[in-house]
Amino acid sequence: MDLSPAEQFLSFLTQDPEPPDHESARRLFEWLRAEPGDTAGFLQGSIEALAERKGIQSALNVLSRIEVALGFRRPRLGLYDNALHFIGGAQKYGCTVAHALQDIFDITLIAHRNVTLEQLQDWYGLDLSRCRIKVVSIPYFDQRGTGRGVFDAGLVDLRGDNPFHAVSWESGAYDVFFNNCMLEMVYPLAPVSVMMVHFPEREISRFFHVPHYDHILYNSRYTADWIRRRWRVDPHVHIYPPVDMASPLDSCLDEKEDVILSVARFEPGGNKQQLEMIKTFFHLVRHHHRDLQGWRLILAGGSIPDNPYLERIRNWLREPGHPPVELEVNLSADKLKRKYRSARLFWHFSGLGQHDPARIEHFGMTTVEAMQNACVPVVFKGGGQKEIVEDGMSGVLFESNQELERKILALIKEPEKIRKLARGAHARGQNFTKDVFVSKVRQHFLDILREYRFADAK
Amino acid sequence: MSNTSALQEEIARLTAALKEERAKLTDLADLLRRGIEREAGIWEYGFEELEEEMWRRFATLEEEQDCISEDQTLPSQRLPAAVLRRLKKWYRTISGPLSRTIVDKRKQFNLDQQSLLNKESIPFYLSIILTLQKIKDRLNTLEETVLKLQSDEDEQWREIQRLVSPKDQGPKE
Repeated sequence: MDLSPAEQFLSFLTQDPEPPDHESARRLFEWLRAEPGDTAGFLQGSIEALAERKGIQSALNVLSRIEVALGFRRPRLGLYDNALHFIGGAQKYGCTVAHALQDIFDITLIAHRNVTLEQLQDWYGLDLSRCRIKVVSIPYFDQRGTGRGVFDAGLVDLRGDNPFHAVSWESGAYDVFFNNCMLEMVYPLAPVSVMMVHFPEREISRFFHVPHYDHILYNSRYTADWIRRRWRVDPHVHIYPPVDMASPLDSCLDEKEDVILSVARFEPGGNKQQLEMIKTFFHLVRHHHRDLQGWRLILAGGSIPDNPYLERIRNWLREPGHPPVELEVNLSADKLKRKYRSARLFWHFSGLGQHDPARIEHFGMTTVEAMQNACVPVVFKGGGQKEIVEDGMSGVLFESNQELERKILALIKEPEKIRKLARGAHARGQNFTKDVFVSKVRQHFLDILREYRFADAK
Repeated sequence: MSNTSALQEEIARLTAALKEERAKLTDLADLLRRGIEREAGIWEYGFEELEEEMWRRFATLEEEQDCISEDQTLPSQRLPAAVLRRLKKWYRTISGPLSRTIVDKRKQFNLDQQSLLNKESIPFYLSIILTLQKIKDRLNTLEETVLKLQSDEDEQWREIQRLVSPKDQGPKE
């Protein structure tokens, strides 16, 4: 017996466990748009039955979906980051997503500590004027006073309750929940859930909810490989992070000096290996003095106050008569850009001599920043760097100190080759701009929304 | 009132009622009508507890490994148990094809025992996986310590060289 549209809709609301196929759901919503009054009468019974069978959240999600599908309101997106109150690359990624989507969704940025939109706009140079911020407190961390505002899932006691369920509850208030900090302990309650994985830092634990996310985004193929290996799930969509440091090619090439530049945080643990760079540079200058005549090494990067690693670097540079090395700590974006524009070569050693995948660069934003300023990257052949730099075309890759020494000397002896690589690097760097990122993010979320609304796809 | 606004209002009313109900709940399992998290247990064990768990589960797995049903054979007054077992085995071999068609499956393959094995296998493998994870974490920590020690050693050598030959300026490798 054929069901009337109203009966089909009733069945759509209450059926268990599979949702309707896209085409029949779309027809139903078309009917609803045309005859909304027919539905109101039996909605209550259906929703109550659904709440009884599958829980209150399922019923709320169905109502949300009907509202958005019928155009009663704009869709809501909750973007969560446990470190939104700190400046960071992952946080910039999340804020750029919010910036890209704020004309499509009502966006709420979910944080654990007070941070203002003005601060975020100032830190990342983005317009976030149509977003709002909501602070969700996590009593577990507040009570323990752990780590000066750091909400680290690695500190959670697995014998107790999951402290991140405060965020899980909040996630149910949105049509789309975007977990920007790959916090695997958050269970998504929204009808559509998206997780951005910058790298799967922790192993599977008792509180592991990644398989419940509908869409898993990743920043590089290297990260995707580790998501599969470490979490046993297949990620879905690859979107490289936005890098917005580009300068016109010709003006950059005119400003070049004999400078090797490194831009990386001075991490207290020394993961970015600035000391190794100093040692390598000293070695090169001592053994190939004539070839490196006039070359300088500049180490730029952010640092926390009282950084012991930075102090060790300073100790090295206190010696009189050492080869020319300059330290530039916590430079403004403008000054940093000038460094990129004037440097001929760029070094990145993260991953050299390391075995732990977390210590290898997952993507390499500063490498792209250098390339966008025609600064030739000479970087360790590992992690995400291999995806950015095409060896011999847009930069140079190395796997050992010996290979680095050989390749650097060869480069320095051939200025024309450096110019050719600089052009290649500059062209390659255009693949990772903010415009490219925004376009991909918007496309992905418009597809999600089309599906959510049961609108005719494409 | 138009049909559209009637539906809109009905949705708003139902949503508000459900949100009120939701606010009264404290457990996600109640909200979803199902549990979502694994029970605490092996997940938070330390090295020694995991090792103990592995061997305990392994002992059961080894003991119960044969899932083919076999009733306990007791000696009769005339024949010892070993002879009776041989006779039963001989009879099963001969009547095998026939008995497999008519004897209840549960009698041929002991599902209860297999179920027990499954239940023992999961914590056994979980213990192994978690042990490996902990070993990996320790290796990473050790590796980090070694790298730091090597770096410290380099610096100390450099300092010694500087003290020994103060006239030779500039850092040494």
